Amino acid sequence: MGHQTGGSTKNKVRQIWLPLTAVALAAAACGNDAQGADGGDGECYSPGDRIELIVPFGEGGGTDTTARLAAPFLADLMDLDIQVVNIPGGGSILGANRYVNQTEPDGQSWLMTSASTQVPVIVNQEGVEFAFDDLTPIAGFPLGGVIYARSDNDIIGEAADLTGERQSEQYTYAGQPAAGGELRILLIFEMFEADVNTVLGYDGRGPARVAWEQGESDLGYDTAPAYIASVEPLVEDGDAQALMSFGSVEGGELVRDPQFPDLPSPLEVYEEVYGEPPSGEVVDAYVTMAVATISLNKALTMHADAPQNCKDELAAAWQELSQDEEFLAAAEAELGGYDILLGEDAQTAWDDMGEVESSSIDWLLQWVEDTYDVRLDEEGAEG
Amino acid sequence: MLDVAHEALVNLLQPGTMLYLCLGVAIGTVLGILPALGGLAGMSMLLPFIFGMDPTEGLALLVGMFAITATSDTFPSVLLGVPGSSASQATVLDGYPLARQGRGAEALAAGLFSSMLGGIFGALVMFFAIFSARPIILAFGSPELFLLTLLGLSMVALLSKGSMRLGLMAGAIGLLLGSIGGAPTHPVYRFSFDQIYLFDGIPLAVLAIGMFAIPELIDLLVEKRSVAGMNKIEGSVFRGMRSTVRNPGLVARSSAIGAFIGILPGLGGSIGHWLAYGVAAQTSKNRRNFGKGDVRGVIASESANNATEGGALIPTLMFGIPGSGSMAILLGGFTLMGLQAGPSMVTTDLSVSVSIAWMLAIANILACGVCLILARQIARITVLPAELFTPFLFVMLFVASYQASRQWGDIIALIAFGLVGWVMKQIGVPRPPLLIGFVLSEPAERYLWTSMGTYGYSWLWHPMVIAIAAVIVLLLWFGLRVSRRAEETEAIVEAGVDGVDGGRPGAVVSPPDRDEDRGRDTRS
Repeated sequence: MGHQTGGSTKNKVRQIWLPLTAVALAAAACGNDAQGADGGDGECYSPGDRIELIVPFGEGGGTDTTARLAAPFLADLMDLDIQVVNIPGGGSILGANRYVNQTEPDGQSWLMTSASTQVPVIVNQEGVEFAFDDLTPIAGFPLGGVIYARSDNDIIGEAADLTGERQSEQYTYAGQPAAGGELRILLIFEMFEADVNTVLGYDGRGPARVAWEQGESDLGYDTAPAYIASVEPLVEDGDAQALMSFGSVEGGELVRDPQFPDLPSPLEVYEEVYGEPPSGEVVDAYVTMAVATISLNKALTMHADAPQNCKDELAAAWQELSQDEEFLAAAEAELGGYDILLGEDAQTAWDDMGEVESSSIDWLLQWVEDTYDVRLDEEGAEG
Repeated sequence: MLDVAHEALVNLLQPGTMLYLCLGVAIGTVLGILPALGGLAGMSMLLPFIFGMDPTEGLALLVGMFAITATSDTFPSVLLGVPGSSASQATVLDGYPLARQGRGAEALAAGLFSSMLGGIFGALVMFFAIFSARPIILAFGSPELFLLTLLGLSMVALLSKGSMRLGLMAGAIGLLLGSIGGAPTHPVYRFSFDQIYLFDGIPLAVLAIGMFAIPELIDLLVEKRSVAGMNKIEGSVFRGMRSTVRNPGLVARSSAIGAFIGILPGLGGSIGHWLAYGVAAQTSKNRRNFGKGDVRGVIASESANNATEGGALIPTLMFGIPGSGSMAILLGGFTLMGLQAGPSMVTTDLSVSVSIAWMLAIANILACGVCLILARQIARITVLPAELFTPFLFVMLFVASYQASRQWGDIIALIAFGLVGWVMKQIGVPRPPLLIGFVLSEPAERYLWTSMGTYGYSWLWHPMVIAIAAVIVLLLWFGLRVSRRAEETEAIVEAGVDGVDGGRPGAVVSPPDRDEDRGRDTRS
């Protein structure tokens, strides 16, 4: 907020400094009773403070469940009264808008975002009233995914058969409408120059997986926990096979998914078939989507202008929680065993989403429009 | 199979588990009796307490709660004409006219008893489906599901009550209303006018309350009288139960329809009871009174909606596909208790699935007992002057609507649809077709699109598609033929006595009702 002239800033600093010193001295004298109201070195949270953890989805979904799993552990650790508050609407945009624009940036409320919240910000979708800069990620929860096919499928015998080079004939993919996390697999088809009949209209991954089991779709994908629960039993029975993972982003590069080290990433599959790694805008777009939907599949965030000590205290609690065996075991079904991103790592991934080149986004939007006949951004909403 | 069932029952009959089941039933009963709140609100309320609970006890609480709202939602549907939940809209059609004839207690008892039978049927279906549902679910691909939505839409023709053109028009408006919000096949928002509220479409609960409840309340207030229009209740609880027992075929058929629709993922729970009602009204002997206070309408709708819950647990548990909002919360509760939905529910976690079937059956019996005891007393609300309870009801309706998406838009939409519903009632446009069109709009579009995308036109020749199409043609032909004959006799026998919303033999027919009936008779 403050881009003031040097003089007045200095004055302010001096004005604040004296009372602060006094407070600090008093705090040193009488234990840790300090009330560092808007300073930076007092305690943000007092025991029993009521915190609202805002989930921009209805009760029962993945993001809500993750929040509800974490809430009691955080409450114990920080001695707080944490209430999960659901504000569903607009595919999570409504709740996020409200948090950013209508709650006090005092650290007393937090927001749980997910890929469904973040992708619309990247593509400048209608209705989004905030930017990545408005939020600070405290903890990020990565979640990868696996692409699979039935063992008896005539067209797809191995991952390489998904590429245009190797495919014997057009294959069919049943999925959700071309937005959000669904863009990942569609970008892979584009990258692979494959001839795919994409049937997009299924109501979530569950129904799409049923369509795959029925034979309506030649391939399917799921995030790690759903894959482990619903598809791995079929793999063990020999009815299905895993083809590749979506990969995982490390230092801006797409690498193998740490939870599925035996499965190649899409880039590896491409390289194996074509003899050289893929390049161009499609790869940039894929990596961007991978950050927004895999590295930060979900994120616990706070107002960017919330007091620093609040952020620090919550971050410290997460540091501890990320080592807590009991929490990790309880949350395994939602978090899929991935390492929680903290501090710099979370911030870097978050910034990566905010700093995508506009030419890259333009390419993505144009590609979606050309291929799937919809505009994802505000411009499209008008027409 | 049987020893699994036995073992699960023994595990369930622990004092702690039973206590939680009863607690769930108690909360569910209260929420169901309060108009329009329903299971979703209850599940959201309970979810925060689930974390860390013992899985059996937590499940008992949740299952007890949601199994029961389909029973207790009979109260507002019958007594006040307010759909107690989105799966008891059809109950209103005959239940409320019965209440207006002073037979509220009787209709209630019939509905409650059917609920219990339907619930037990659903639990049985669930138990057997655990072992055999996978092939059934996998047999219904997009084309088959699309045909089922058409079957549902064919009910519009039947529920149009003599004014076919108006009924079809209302159905078409319903289809259009259903297309508001995020499109099922493309990431675009239709008719949302930049309002985030409209991104998710109009909530079904708000539409149903607006269409059915608000017009009734307005008319009650305008006419300054009680629901029953007299000060004593005719008919007894016992008589209502007897009506149910005397229609075993109807109960079985409706329960089967409800459970079947529940098992199929992706059609939504509220369609089952409409189908059951429609089939009952279409194929019963002497169907003239349907919509005017035929207790069989209540029986069909209520046995179906309870049976649906049992069926709907199958895709929820086995495929992790929640069939409704309550089921989505149940799935969340699963994770909080350390369980995971998926194929393991039939293998390693089989005992969990089986005990859920038991809980469902026991909860249904408990709820029916509690509700039957309360029925006579609560039915007395129908002899109270409307001014006494309508203010409270209005508050409840607004609270319940706001619960749908917790945005101001809910309130505005409720008022708007309340007015539209009132006008439709006044000029005699049938309202059920609008709701059916609305409910089926999204699945119809979705499955037509995915059928075409996957199969081109070849899906038209799938054997099951042809079979369902034949059923639709038969039902329509049969229904319309009977309907025409019935209308011919009706025209001769009664020159404008009862109407869809009227129907009080012995009571003074109030002027607005009479006008409405005349209008309809000339049109048909």
